[in-house]
Amino acid sequence: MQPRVSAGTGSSSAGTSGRRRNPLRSEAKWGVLYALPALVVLGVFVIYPVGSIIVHAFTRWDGFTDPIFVGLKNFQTLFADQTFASALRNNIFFALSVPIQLVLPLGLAFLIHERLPGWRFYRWTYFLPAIYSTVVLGVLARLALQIDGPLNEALTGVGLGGLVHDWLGDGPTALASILFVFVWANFGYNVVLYLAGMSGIDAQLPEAARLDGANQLQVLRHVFVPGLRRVMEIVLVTSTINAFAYMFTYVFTITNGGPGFSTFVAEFDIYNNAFAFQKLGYACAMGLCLALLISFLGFLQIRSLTGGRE
Amino acid sequence: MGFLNARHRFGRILTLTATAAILVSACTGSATLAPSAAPVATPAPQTSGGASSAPSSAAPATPIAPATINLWLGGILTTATAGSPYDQWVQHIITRFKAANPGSDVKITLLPPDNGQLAAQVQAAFASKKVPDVMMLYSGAYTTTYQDGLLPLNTFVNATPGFYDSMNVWDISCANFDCQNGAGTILGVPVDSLLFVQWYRKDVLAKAGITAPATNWTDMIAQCDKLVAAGITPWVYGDRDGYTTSNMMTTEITSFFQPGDLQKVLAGTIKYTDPKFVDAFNAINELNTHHCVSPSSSTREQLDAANDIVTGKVAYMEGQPQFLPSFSSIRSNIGVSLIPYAGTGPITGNATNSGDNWVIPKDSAHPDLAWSFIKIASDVQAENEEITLLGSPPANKAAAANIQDPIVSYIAQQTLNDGMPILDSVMPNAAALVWYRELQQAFAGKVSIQDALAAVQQAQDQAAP
Amino acid sequence: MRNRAVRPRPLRWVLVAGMTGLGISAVVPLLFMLQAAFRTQLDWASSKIGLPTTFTLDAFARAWVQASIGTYFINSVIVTVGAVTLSVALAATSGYAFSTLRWRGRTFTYFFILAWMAIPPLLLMVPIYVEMSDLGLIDTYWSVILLYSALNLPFNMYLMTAFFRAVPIELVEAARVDGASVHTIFRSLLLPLSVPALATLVIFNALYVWNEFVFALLLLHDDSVRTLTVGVNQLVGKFFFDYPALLAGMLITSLPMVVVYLVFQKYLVRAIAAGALK
Repeated sequence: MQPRVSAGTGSSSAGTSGRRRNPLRSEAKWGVLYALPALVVLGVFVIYPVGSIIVHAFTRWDGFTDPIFVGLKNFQTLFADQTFASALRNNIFFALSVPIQLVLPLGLAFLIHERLPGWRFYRWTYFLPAIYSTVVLGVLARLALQIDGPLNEALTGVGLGGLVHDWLGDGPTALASILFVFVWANFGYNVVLYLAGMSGIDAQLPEAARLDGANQLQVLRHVFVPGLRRVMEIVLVTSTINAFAYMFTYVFTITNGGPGFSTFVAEFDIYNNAFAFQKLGYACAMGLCLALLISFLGFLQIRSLTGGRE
Repeated sequence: MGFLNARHRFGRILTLTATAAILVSACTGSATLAPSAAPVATPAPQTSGGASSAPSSAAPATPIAPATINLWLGGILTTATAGSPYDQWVQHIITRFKAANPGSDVKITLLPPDNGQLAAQVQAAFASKKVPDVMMLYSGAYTTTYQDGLLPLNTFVNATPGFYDSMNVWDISCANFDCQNGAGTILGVPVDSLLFVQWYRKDVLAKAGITAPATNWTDMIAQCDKLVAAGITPWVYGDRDGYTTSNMMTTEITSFFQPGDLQKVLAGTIKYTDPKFVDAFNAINELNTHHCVSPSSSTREQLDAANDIVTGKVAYMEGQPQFLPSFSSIRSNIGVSLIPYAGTGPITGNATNSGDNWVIPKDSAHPDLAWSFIKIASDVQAENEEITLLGSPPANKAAAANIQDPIVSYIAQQTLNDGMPILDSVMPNAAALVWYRELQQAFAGKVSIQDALAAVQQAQDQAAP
Repeated sequence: MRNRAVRPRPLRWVLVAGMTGLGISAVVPLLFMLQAAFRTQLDWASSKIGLPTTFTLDAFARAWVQASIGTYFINSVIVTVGAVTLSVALAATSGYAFSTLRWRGRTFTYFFILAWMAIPPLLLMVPIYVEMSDLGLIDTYWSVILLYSALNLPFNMYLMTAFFRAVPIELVEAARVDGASVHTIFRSLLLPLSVPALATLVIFNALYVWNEFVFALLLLHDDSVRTLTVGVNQLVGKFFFDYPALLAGMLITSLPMVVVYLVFQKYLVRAIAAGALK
């Protein structure tokens, strides 16, 4: 393993000559300047609007007339809101797929890296689902899963008529369908990330391990996985965030939150409250809580992953 | 060294892609068609005028400073893409607008067909005060939602003699849907009328030996049984979004309500859990128990399900008048009648109101030009074209009286016979959206009707300021 | 090096079968759209899958004419190229600032930026619209270009920072000892090394921007600037009866990206592999 620049600590460079020279001072200046454009763009287009949302979370606002301050009332309503609670439960359901999203692409990438027959075919097709527009995939999924749609037609055709089901008309299967489409559409990203990470691992290491008698699974676990810690961290955090903050388009195009309210997700509830119900203040409060929840989860994950490291 | 090569290849790929894009765009540059210039020949003759003929579209005496106004199209015109009959209708109006207001022009923006996205866009516009000059919105969208952002039109209406009387279905175009013959606060000008009707296929009915559509609910169920016995699914019922059950409900309650009951429902003195609602639903639910509808009804999307009547798989379909153009291939076999009532209440009219309205936002930059546009769009000539190009029953009385097409004429006459507004057009949005979802679940058998209606009541209670 | 490990034959072929199935599933949407786009509406009403009884290009014509696809395509390209360029530039510069350069407050700022990744973008709809119209950016490409770059900044920065930090410190120190300036280290040492990461960023951001829907809908009203995703959405609303046309339209909008991917992915693969030969 090659030594790396230490993560997380600020000023002193570990393990090099202690001589302080001018470059360090100009480096500090340039550090700030290199980070500045990013900070400005972020500040203007993300931080400022979020500030606006925080302010409006304490108001009642319909978007036309002026907002009215109502203190903590929105939050009180939120904690009793059944629809939001069930929406969050759906988000948590989606988050349960994170282990799959972490492990499955790893296995696939490994097999591709190890040149399983057909590896070229896999490599170019696995990213293809990510190329399609989410709207297109959602519409296709909705079409395919109708009770008289192609999936059921196909099942009957191959003699599996007993499996025919009203996929989108039944809460649990509708939710599972959305999850399936989401995982299918996005696993390619993680495969690419893993492949990129694997290409950075010295090829002699797995060779050595195999010569020592390790089987493929052991090679994967003990040689590749340690080297892929950072990638796995990225995959873990992004998958979790996706489960809470990027499900909207799928829900919207596949089920529109139905049947009833059973496939609502938090984003959808926010959208509904803001634009259908004209309760912008309430929607802001909801969004704020969601954002805090996601930050907290992300923080926990990053802490537990970097906690045991250098 | 290998890395520098990689970087160069990178740059080359970007150039390649960009070039390809430019080539593609050059070839496809002609794809955006200009809207057709030639107006469609209107079969219906222009009205020779009646007592309450619409005022002419001649420009008012005081000249308005020329400008290009922004027109946002919602409602049925969200699909007014280039080349469509909807777009043609709008373009004809624009041509006449430009003639009446030399130097002025109209810039169109199509709003998204989906209600939620439409609301998002309109909402954002109002919140930032960057509003268009004139909009067309479907009635349900603005009657309760955007009222505060709209300009009252009374001054304009009063300054145009005969205008109010030339149109019908005004009621929900006014605040608190009470126009008081033009004395209430007018917020929109009706474009067309909305009435849910029963479409039926004569040939499919004939297969089961039925010669005329059902006129009351008992008949309806009896016909269902006959059709089922003949191996035909009687109704197509696309209820994925709950719209079909909603339309059936808002129609059926007309036969269970007393006059004035609807206002009481909105005020909260009559609850949604009232037996009137429950009885209406139980009647509709007989469609399930008598197998009038297919098992997939609750997951099929309403507009998609309409395909079944085009292909002759079913005999009946509930729908709005605007389905007519899509039935052109089966024109000789399609008929229309009122949805049969199950109740025996005293109200004799139909549940009907305006389907779409022209509105002017409060912060509109050119309200005078906007009004000029609206006047032209509401006169007999434009409203005649509504029939031929859009298949809509027009709100202009003279145009409605002069319809040649028997189906559209029938529908237009029925809308003049209005008994009460369509409930979900006047419910608070928050309650309406719960109403659709809950009814869908109730019809699908997933929740009891009492629970469904209780949820609607709760939503309405919480929507109150 | 070739894999010389011995794997039990049955397991290997099970894996191959499974992975091949997965690969084929990736192409299924295209196949589905293809078979539907050449059929008539009557065909569709009777069965959703099947070969066309009357092979017709009508559906394509309907879709093309009524959906202004050409203009929307160009707009999507402009927005994507612009947003991706800006995103990558911001990610690289900020990544450098948080990895190799040393300055006070670095850690705090890094985690500060990272925290914003948790914001569901949807939440920002109304304030963004108000802000963009105040800045006069509605109906301009800049509105979405700046917005997308801002929304993806935390993740992009995270990726680049992680990558730069993985660069062996000796290389950087050696360059410093040689008297390389802050800028030279960035341009001539780190950037060339990070081509795989940059390529990854380009792909991810390009896909995000190309397919982004909600803000494109909100900020780009005028047809002259509208993008393809909004166009597809209009197709859905317009062709509620006409599935062949809808699917033909969706096919038209999907194909360009698929073609670009097929061309581009070879280079991406080589770039990743090139990283391995360090």
